[in-house]
Amino acid sequence: MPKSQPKILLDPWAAEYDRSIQIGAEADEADPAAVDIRVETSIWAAVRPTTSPAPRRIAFVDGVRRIEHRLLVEDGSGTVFGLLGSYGVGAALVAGEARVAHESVVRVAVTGNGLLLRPFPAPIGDGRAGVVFEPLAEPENTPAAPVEGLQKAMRAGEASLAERVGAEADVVFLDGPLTYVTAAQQGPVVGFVKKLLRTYLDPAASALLPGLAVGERTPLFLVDAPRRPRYSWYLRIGLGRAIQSPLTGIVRLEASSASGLDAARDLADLSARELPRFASEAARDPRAPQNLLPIGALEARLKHLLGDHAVIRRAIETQLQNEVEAVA
Amino acid sequence: MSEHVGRVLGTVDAMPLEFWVGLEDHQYLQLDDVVEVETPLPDGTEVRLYGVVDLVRARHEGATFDSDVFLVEKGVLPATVVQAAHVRVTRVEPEIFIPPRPGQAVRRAVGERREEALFFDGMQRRLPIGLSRDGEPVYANLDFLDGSRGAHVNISGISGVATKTSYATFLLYSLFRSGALEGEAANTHALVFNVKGEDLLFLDQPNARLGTRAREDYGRLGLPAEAFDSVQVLAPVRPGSRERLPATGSRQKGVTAFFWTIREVVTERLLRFLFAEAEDAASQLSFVVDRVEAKLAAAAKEAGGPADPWIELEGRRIETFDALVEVLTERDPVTEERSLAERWSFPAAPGTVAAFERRLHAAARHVGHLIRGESVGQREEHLLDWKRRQVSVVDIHSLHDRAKRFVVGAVLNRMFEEKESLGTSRPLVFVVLDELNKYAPREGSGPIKEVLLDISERGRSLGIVLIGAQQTASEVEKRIVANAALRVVGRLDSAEAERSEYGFLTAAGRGRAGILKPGTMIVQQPEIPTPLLVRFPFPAWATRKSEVATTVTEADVFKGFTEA
Repeated sequence: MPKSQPKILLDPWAAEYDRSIQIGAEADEADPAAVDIRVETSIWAAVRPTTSPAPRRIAFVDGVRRIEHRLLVEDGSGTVFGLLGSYGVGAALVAGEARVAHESVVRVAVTGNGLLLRPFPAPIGDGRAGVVFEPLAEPENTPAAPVEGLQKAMRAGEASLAERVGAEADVVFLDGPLTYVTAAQQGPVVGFVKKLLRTYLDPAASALLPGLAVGERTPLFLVDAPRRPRYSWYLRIGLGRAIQSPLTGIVRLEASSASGLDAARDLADLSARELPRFASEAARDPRAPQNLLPIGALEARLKHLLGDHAVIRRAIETQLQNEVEAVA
Repeated sequence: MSEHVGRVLGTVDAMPLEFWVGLEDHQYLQLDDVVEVETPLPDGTEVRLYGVVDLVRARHEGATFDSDVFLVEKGVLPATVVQAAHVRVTRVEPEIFIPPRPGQAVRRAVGERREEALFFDGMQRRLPIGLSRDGEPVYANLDFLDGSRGAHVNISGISGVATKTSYATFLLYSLFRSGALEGEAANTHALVFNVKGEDLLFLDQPNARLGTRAREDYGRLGLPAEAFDSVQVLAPVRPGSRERLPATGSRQKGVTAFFWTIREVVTERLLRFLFAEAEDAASQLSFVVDRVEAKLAAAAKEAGGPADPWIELEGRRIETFDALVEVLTERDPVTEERSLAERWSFPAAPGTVAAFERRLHAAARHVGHLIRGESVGQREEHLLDWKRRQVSVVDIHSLHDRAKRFVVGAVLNRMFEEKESLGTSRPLVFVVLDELNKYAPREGSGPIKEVLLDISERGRSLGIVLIGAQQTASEVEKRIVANAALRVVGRLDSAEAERSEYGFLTAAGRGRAGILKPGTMIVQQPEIPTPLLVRFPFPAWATRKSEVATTVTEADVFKGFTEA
């Protein structure tokens, strides 16, 4: 091994330990922005869209990720945090029947401090199978940075898939905000935010939310963020239980403002008509009803495609052991 | 090589004798399909596993709750339908018993590969025994039927829907007409007991209801679609008929009446078959029967020649069975002297002798007309001689149970003794007997059961092959069932199917035995490790009077009316 190659070692901590760290609280969500609630109508009241033929094709795009192993990389100048991770992105297409139409899995070796490793192979079994982790660099060097890198890569993958799927569907519901969808994107992509981490509305306007009936939405409001202006609306897709918050079953959706108000209103009406039937029940999913059925199934499918965690971890360890032995 | 239909599953253990196949989207496998898969050894050798599909399943993958099926149908939950088939391995070539490697392509076995899979390739002389579900012929190895390596067939199934006798006659037809017996066929005989209904009385008449599809079936089996060509129908003589007319049902023409003479019964010691109920074995009755038979045989030698039907006892000429009974059992009402039977069977207990006499009286009522000492006419014409034609149907369906037992016992006994004295296994004779449970019940013993056991254990070397049938194999003597090389199952009661007699059936086979349609059988044979489901064609011979093809068809009869 040439001297310039950084030395990769396993972080003694198990990959799972990062789960207590809040990652993926979208940076964008905290972005201060002016909100205009009078863009669609002057009366701030619940909107129930008129009936209309169902769209022929609805797509749902989502992703899952997993840290396979945390790394500590000695690059001569110090220790760099890193990880080997996998993510999968996919789309469920509903056109009469629901099916998983796209699915792909990517393996990345993320390191902080701007360091780029070489591709890291981990052969499995007799070598017919195996995975290769492609290098990815994060500028910062904190324990959380590699996880951020993995999350961003997954989000970018979702966004690009959503853009591609937009060509074959009438509407694409992308799990999460539209942060990673490029401004050039003009397709019918709707961000579907199920965790209401931040309220965009002042208390007076927020008072409308608990009283929304299933299938009713708020009027559109403009989030005039400098980098990413978009229209957004709240929608009730299901009812929570008495022991849950009255906001259970309320989701926030957003569409790019680039396509104009009319296009956004169409998408908002469409979402209010279609999404309630995809809501899940508490018996099925602890995140019910917000976690939509196609997205739940897609997640399960993608998690399955990531492969067996133990097998991949063992392959990584075997590979590292071989490298250590080669140096010694 | 055909396109592959699926791949060996790796989520369920694949084993040398069974494995699961995941099916490709656009492909299917059904029960009984024959498949093959090749799997490589490290040295490059390809091991080929053959098998038969015995389970098929389909399920939603990605759905976890039962209610998911509704969501999937509504189109809100994505799920995939996956199908898989379970394969029971029949053959491994070369014989290296390794599991097929998960992921290996599985194909339908067709042509030579199918023959290899089902061991047909190794059968020197093969007998078509039906069609598989995909319409291909299924064979049995004749070596296991003609005594070379095994013999006997046992058929189980519910009456009415199991069509046991139909299958037995189909097997006979195949034996005679398929060419499997080659030159021997002409010399081979079959003795068929028609124990109920009249379905076997028209074997020599073409079936008017035979359709095109059935004709094609025969064609595929390599058989002509015709009636049996050398058949005689034998029926018991009518009671009290001096003219020796046969007691027939719907068949009138070409029926020969049969009976025995008193002399034959006595010299051949057939009396015991009148006391054939199994329960008699444990008692002293057989001792009394034995003594009486011996004394009668001795008496027969003293007067009259071998051709005379009568015998003389106590100075009286005995010309009817009733007279025989009378001489044996009469007592002087005044002196209360002991009866002849009592004196002959001394020192048997008086109660036993009384039982003997009681049964003898009962037998006289039901069987007496079959045993004559006068008006015998040309004896040869009324002998139950199964060598006259290729197939002899003995119609005993209208006889009382006691008489049925006598006829079966007497005929088989004579046949066995004759074959035994010849000491060769040729010519072959096939005996078809339904309701085996009556003649060879599991419990107890009796003279007929002994004859049947002899046939089942030694018939192989004497050229007697038993094609036995019964509703439930569990009620038939174990050794008779166990000695059958070919075990056949039609529709079975589901409780019966669970019994150990049907251990050869797979779990799926047991389930299917409960729903088999008439005309479908499951056949187990020694060389093939899995039972095969076969469909046999509609009989080309009439099975009832209405099916008999007449030369003048109905259309012809009415033709004149329409034109007039």
